[in-house]
Amino acid sequence: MGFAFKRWALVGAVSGFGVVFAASAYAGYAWTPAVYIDNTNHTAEGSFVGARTSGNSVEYIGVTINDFAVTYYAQDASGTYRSCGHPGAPGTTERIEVSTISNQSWFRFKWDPNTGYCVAPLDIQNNSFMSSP
Amino acid sequence: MSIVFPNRSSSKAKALILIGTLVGIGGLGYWSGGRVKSATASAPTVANEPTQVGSEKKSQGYVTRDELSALRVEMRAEFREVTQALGALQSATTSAANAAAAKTTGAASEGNAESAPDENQIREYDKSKTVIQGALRTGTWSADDRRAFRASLETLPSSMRDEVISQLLVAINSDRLKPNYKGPPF
Repeated sequence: MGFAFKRWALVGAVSGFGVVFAASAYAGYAWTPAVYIDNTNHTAEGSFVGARTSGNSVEYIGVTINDFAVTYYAQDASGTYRSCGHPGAPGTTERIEVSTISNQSWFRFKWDPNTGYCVAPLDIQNNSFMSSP
Repeated sequence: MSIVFPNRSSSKAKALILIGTLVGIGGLGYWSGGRVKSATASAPTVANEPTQVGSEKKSQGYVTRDELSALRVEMRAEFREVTQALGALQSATTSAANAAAAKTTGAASEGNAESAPDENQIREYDKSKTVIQGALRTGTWSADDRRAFRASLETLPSSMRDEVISQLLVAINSDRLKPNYKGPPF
């Protein structure tokens, strides 16, 4: 009994140290901004990592591009969904815009409530502290 | 300094002074003619002598062979630069003209396509609006709605496509439609 207890205590201690050192291996500042929708100013913002690590299965944010449109969309934790699209087929500017967004991105889009079209400026930030965990 | 002449012989004296002045000017011109000619009238002459001798003659209007060669090289370089600049300007002008022509042609063809949608496009346009209206009755934008709407979009001309996309987005952003799936609206 005593020997078995000691053996399990040793295993636990080793595991504990392992967890501590593994956690400390990921150094650096980290920020995981959640999806936020501002209906007054008609903006939606958030980060991929923030949405993924939010602790709920509701919020997400994204952008999609195809031959006839670029569309930004977001859903916050309360389930509010907003979207905007660039009118017309995507041009060079829109394609560069979309390619700028990555796994380390935070971005904000603004929609025109009368047309649903995106309103400039689109705000994109790429930061080390928004990398995937 | 003023010269005073007796009244009775003043015209005679004036004549003598005029003649004397003309003779003086002529003599001066004869005396300095050679120098003026070598310094200004004749073109620079290439000196065949070495540089030292040439530099002595430089003060007399000569240019050495080395200096002339350098001048030629410099002139060639400048001529080359000017030629290149002209070539670049010409190609830029041609490119701009071609781009303008292509843009005009593209706009014209797009305008023709926009002005006359075919029957299939009209049918798909109506179908896309029907999908939105059907969804508005329930307040839900489903994955099936999205699929049908997107299929219609692919056949529509730009202006029709933008119109129905706008209708959908306005309905979504005003909470009259809510997607019941996760992802883009179309």
